[in-house]
Amino acid sequence: MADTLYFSRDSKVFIKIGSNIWEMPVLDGFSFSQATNASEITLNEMSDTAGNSRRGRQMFTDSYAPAEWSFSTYARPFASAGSGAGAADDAAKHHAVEEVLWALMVGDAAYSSNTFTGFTADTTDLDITFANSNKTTLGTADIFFVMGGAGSGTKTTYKIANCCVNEASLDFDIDGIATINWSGMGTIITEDTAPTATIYEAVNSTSNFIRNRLTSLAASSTSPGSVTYDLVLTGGNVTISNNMTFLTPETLGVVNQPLGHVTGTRSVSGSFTCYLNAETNSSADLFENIIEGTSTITNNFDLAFKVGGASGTPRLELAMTDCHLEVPSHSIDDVISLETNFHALPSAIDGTDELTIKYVGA
Amino acid sequence: MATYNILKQAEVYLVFNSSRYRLDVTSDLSFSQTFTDKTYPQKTLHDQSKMHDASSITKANPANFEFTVPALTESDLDVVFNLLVDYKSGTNTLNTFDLYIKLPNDVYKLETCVITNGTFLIEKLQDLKLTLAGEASKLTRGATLPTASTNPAVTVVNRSANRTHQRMDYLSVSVDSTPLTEGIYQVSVELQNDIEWTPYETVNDALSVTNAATSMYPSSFTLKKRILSGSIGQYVLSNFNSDTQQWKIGVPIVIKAGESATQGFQFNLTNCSFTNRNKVANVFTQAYDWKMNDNPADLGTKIKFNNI
Repeated sequence: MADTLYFSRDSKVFIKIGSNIWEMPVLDGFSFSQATNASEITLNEMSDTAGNSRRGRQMFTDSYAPAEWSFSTYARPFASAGSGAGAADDAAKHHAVEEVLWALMVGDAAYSSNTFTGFTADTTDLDITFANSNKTTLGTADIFFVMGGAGSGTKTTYKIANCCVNEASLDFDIDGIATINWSGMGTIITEDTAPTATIYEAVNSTSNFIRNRLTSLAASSTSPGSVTYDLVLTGGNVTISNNMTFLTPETLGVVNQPLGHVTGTRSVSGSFTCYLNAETNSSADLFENIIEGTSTITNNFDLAFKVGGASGTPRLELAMTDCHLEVPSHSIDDVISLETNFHALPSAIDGTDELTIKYVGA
Repeated sequence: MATYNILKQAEVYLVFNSSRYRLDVTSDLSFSQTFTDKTYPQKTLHDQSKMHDASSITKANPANFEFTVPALTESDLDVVFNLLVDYKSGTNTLNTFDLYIKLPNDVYKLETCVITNGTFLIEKLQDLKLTLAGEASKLTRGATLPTASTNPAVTVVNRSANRTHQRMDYLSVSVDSTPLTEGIYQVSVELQNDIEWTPYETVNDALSVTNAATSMYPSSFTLKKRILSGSIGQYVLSNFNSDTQQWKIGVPIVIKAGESATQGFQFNLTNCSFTNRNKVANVFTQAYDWKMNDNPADLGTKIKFNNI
């Protein structure tokens, strides 16, 4: 009898919240695992009269570490057809294939009337805010990895229960397609049956990918100095992290299982690179203004990344109105570049407005 | 082949009122008992070579123990909470119990235990727990765990099918009838039962001491004082700064911590005092160090677990 082997390229991923199941096209390189936390008990005896000393050890499994998962998706906004099998909406509102992951990132992921908490979808665009993310726990979902899901043979399905999204990272690789790297944790991995997606609109569309080369950056500052900069990106990254930790009991005599997540400090940060340009209000002035601003302990820059272009569709906009920039560092290559690290901050320490996300479908 | 006693394999049982309960404990379990060695000099005018003192060991000090139990939604571990909080019926003293620590090849027994300190662990990044420390009359090794066969008088209390650990999803704190609705970063509560063992060292008993088993052990105690106190840490906010560097007496303090308003620990204290101190950190904070001044007939009506 032939062995049944699985290839990562045949795998499918589904995300389930309540009775709603989203199909999530992921890139090659996804992973999931769960480790155990074990104690090693050793002896440390001195010698007896014959020079003997017992040197054995024992191992005890204390608990399961939270299951960890990661995968990458393309940023794929679309305007819903408003009807049909697997439709994301009953009106022509804008959505994104990966929007359920943003829902888990920014709030309780409560899904009602074709939208999530913190989402504003209309026929123009989809706006996502962190207004509901000042919570000790955020939304959870079950993530299913279906091995062999793209084929017709025997499938093996692993379910990670109670998953939270810990981090999302967008890299602006100029020659690539806008990609978001997601990672998070769940309570436990179990074998399950393959689910059937209920929402899968635009999953097979080829018109909703975003080209990074068209990305633009609008940057202006109020401190130090009030300047509107003219910067041309050559690369960059934005990382959003919930800094999750997991609770696990420590009872003796049982293998403790993780209870669930607790949020930490919300962090939005990243970097962008551009050529060193001596034009007025270009990158050379950015460096000069920051390094000479010794009386400013918190910079205030308004950064807006428009991935896919300032007005084209599809596109993804990341607006960060209060950014603290570090002094740019020079990168000495054939063409000299500047790399600038930034930290998107809320307008007040108890605020949630460090980042707003806008998807515009084609 | 010799066997070893490994903490990871320990099982803890509590016997109270002829009922045996299996406790869930964490790895901070500890217990010990020491003996007092009263030395006396042997050196005399006639024998100057006896430089070393002789020993007289007749008395055992009270044993002590400490362990932490999780605050479960199920009532399985309520007995521990009740032994910390409740008076012995009709008295102003506390109930006693026996603890057994069972290992694969050995059983330790702590007799006549009393809980002297209970710390309610209310942490954002931990499940709700209760750390207990206490004293006992006697610690012995090689005991027999009471079972239906070894001691029919003891009833083995079965555990619930599930163990539901409680997260800190709900925290409500009010001081002087003002709900502290924002900026709380730390809450701690501690109940101390200050006991004193009745003197148990007598010349007559000392005469019959020949080994550890016949040594003089403490047997009874008096509850001298109880202290219920804690601390509430809050950021100094523009709308919560009127108590900073103030003190008050005769104020109510209400704390509810757990999965919900009715799950977890509830403290409804009517007559408390607090001193508030400002603390300089990256973000300025204030600490309410509070203490209950009330003398309720039943502390169990003021401190509840799972609203019971």
